[in-house]
Amino acid sequence: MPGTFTLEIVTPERLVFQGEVTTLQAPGLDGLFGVLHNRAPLLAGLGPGAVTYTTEEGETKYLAISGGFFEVAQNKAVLLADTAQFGEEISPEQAAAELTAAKALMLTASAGPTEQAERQAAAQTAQARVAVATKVRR
Amino acid sequence: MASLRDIRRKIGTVKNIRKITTAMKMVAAAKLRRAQDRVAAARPYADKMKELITRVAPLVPPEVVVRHRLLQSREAATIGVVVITSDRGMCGSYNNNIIRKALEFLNAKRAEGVQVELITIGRRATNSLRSRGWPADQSFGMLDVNPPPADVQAVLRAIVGLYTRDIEPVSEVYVAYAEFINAVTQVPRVDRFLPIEAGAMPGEAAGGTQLDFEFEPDPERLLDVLLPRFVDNRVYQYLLEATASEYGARMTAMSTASDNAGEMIDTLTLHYNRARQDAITKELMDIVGGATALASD
Repeated sequence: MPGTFTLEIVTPERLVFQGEVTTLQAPGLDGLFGVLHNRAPLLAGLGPGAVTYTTEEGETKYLAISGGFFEVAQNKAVLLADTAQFGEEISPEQAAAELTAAKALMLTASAGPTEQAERQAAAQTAQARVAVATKVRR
Repeated sequence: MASLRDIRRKIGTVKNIRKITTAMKMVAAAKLRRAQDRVAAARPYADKMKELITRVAPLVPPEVVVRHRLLQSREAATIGVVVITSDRGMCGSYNNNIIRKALEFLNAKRAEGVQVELITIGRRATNSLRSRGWPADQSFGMLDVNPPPADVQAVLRAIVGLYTRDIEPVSEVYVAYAEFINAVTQVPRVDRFLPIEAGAMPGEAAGGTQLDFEFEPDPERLLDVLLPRFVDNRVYQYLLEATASEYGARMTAMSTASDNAGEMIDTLTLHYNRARQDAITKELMDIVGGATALASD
């Protein structure tokens, strides 16, 4: 039995998840990282992408987030996400359509640097949503 | 003296009005509860956010923190003002109170020769301020209890954008809204919202044991991403609070209206009964008078 840690996932709207988990993967600003029991204290910024965690019961959950923060210390982890949606809540068709739209928008010219960055983030979020939606349905 | 039929008709009207106000009161009460739930649901995120900033801020050299564009104070040539009211009336003096407060503030600033860029949220503010010589530079509809995220984003971008845009950013941003005390009391206020005051920043003294945190990326870049989100979250909380205030005010107004309608029905019923008795007495007098006249013949 692998060790567990407490995970809390919060968005401005609601508490998404609270419970014991064995593993967690999150999209850090500098790349994907994983967290296990007894992780050294870490505070990380998160980019848009997929969050994966395995609960005590061995169930693996997928979440698409559009960015946020992650903190873990003494086996207590908190993930602050701007938005978070479980794979089950996302329709793959709709997500795919959004991704196409976001990509198209990213390629259109005449946008300032901040706007371009925003569009890119939107496309990455859409990408994560597609990935997460298809993963749960496999 | 109004005729019997007039009074009866009036009672009917008032009863109908009472039905409507009672229904509106119930809708407002339900929405108020949802709004309050949302305020409560938003709290863990806000608290955690403050905690993170508290943890990161001390690790960033103060001179870098001060230079951050969300903290930096500039000369006040132009300021941004955001006024949050409701879209619809029927909520007592809620909108008027906010607008009066906002106008006082706006006119004072104009008198000082400060340029103002105005954003209104809620049709009441847009229309009312326009007719008083303050056309809004940008206006939005008020967000309801469960707003689509895209709408929230649009409002956030507009407000924060005033301050962070590259071309002619404003030097300060103020928010006029009604603070929610309870369902009966909402206090209109004007808050300075940007730049973030050093005092409003989560305190430096982090209680408890200081753990040796690993940061990814470095604290400076982290603070860079934390602060905008902290600001977004504050705007979001203003909006939530305004929604709660609005429905509180509406519930109270409609409750009072229903009570008043009830009182009016009572008074009118009294008049009605009196008028009816008058009529009966008059009729009896006629009959008795007629009978006496016949008998004396």
